[in-house]
Amino acid sequence: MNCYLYSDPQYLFYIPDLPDLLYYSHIPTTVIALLVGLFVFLNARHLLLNRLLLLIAVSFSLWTLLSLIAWTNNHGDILLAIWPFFGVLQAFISILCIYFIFVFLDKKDVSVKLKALFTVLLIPVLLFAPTDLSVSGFNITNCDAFEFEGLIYKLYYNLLGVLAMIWICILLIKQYRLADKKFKKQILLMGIGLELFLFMFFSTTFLFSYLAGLGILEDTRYELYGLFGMDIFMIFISILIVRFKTFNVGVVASQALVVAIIILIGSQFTFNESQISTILTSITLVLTGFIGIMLIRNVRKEVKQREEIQSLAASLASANEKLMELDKLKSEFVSIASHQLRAPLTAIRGYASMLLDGSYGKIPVHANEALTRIEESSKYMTYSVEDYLSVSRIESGNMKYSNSDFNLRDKVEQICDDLRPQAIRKGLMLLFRTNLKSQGIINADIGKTIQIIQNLLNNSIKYTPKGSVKILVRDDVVRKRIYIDIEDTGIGMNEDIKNRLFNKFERASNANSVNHRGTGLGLYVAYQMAKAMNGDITAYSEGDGKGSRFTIEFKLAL
Amino acid sequence: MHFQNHILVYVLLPLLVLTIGATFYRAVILHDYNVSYEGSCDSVVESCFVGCEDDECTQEYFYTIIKRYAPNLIANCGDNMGNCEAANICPLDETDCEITFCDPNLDIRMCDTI
Repeated sequence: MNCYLYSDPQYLFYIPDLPDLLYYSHIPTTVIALLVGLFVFLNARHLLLNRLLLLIAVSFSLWTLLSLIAWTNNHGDILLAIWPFFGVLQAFISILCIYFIFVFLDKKDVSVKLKALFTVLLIPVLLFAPTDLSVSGFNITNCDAFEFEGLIYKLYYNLLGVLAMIWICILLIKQYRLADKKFKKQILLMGIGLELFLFMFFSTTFLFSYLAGLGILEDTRYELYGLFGMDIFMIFISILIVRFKTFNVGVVASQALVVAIIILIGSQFTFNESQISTILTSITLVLTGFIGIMLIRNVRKEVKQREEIQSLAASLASANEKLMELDKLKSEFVSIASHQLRAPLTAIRGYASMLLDGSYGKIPVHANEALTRIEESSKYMTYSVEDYLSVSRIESGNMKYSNSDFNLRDKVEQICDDLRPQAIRKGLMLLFRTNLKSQGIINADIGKTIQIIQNLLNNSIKYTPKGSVKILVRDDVVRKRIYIDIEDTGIGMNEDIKNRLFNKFERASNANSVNHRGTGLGLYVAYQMAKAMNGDITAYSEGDGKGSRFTIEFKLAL
Repeated sequence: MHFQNHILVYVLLPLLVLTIGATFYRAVILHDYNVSYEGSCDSVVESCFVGCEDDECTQEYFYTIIKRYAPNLIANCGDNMGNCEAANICPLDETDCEITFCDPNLDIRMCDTI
């Protein structure tokens, strides 16, 4: 059955009497949608998100193709054969958009249940498409089927569009609250683009065709404006591709896409016949050109930044490699040098001691003082060498710990007894106290624990010109910790040095005035050892000249 | 599990093919649909709808609205009913044929009443 009032179209779809807007809204929009959809799909076809975008673009393109046929065709049979598929395609677009947003937000496929729900929602549209519920005839005079459309069927697939808009909106808002700053921007762009597309597409196609069906609206061309929603969506997709690498599309490819869209819109000038079309094309071209330039600028900036970062990263990697090599060499050198120094030092100390205690006969009084100095200096040098060796072992990971249970309280008391003569010689009072609820047993390396306590107690004595050094051993059975507080009335330290105290070669600025022999390694070694045995060392001082308190902490073996 | 994961494809694709086939068969082969068109109307004896020949409405024409089952119209007039007189009347034995005249109380369009 033919619409006898209308002539056959030229070149498949062209009828001179039809509004230019028809071609302008259909052809470039379809090409842009297909171009972006295919482009995204071909760049990373394994991604579900890209496949879904292509499916949306293809469904939309089929809709516009059918719409163009419906506008230009004068064969009633063909009109009736394609008319039900407007509803089918609109329903598919709605569900695909929901599916697309789920995958975009969750970065994974949806559950089987949700897929089943999508299927159930789409089945009625397909089942009733060939029946009178969808469309029961057509108007030969107008060559359309608006007045024969089934209201329930039409409402159903349009409600799917409304459902899609609401569902997508809820999903986006929900995810927006939880997302990080970068993903929030992506959600916003995707949400605005997709919602605008759905709103423009469904509101115009439903509202205007419904009014036309009622005979209220004779001109159905207003629905054509709704198709521009797809252009808006594709612009937002392009921004997401360029700015956020959504869909895994490369940067250079993004530039190509922008250029292709501009060329495509510009090509509209070649077949624009009316002033309105030319103005519309110009506005679209200017807008797209502006956004395109902005995007390309961003891309260039990004590429430049990326190149700089890559170059810096390469330099840093090379520098880091060299530093690691140098550090290794340094540790090896210190280790070798320290071992070679230790052997002669032991001999020097031994022989000096033997000479002083008269093993080689009586020594003249004036030589006695020199020998005492030799013995003292070699003793300090031995300590320094031991420190260097310890640092070398710690850094190379070769420090060995032989843990066993022992009574810490007894060990601390013993160390205090050993060092008390040294304190008394300096005129200092050394007090030992305990406040224990447990027996004070810990599981650690005895030698290294003694070394840590000796080091800190020694320091307190060394850096306290007058007053006292108090040692308190206390415990916290609830937290299973034991503490040794070493509190002195010495030179103290300021906040700045306190923060760097446990670093290598760090000494308090006022330390040299009291003791010039320190290497700045003792506290570093003690701290590393305590840490390696699940312990800790903390320092406290109210400032220079106000004394210090060091607390050594270990885990109780209850 | 494979079927469940691809339920959309396995269920909807065959259904879509069937729908396309059924719709094509119904419209193109069976012509199982109704048509509506403007029939001729004598404004002297009938209440006619008034239409315009051009946008400025310099020349009017009168018409009725006829609804018929397409196969019956094709049987009388063939595929092109442009100059088919039989299209303007409803045969007595045709139950699905309906001619609507203009009712000034119901119709929002302009009527040329008797």
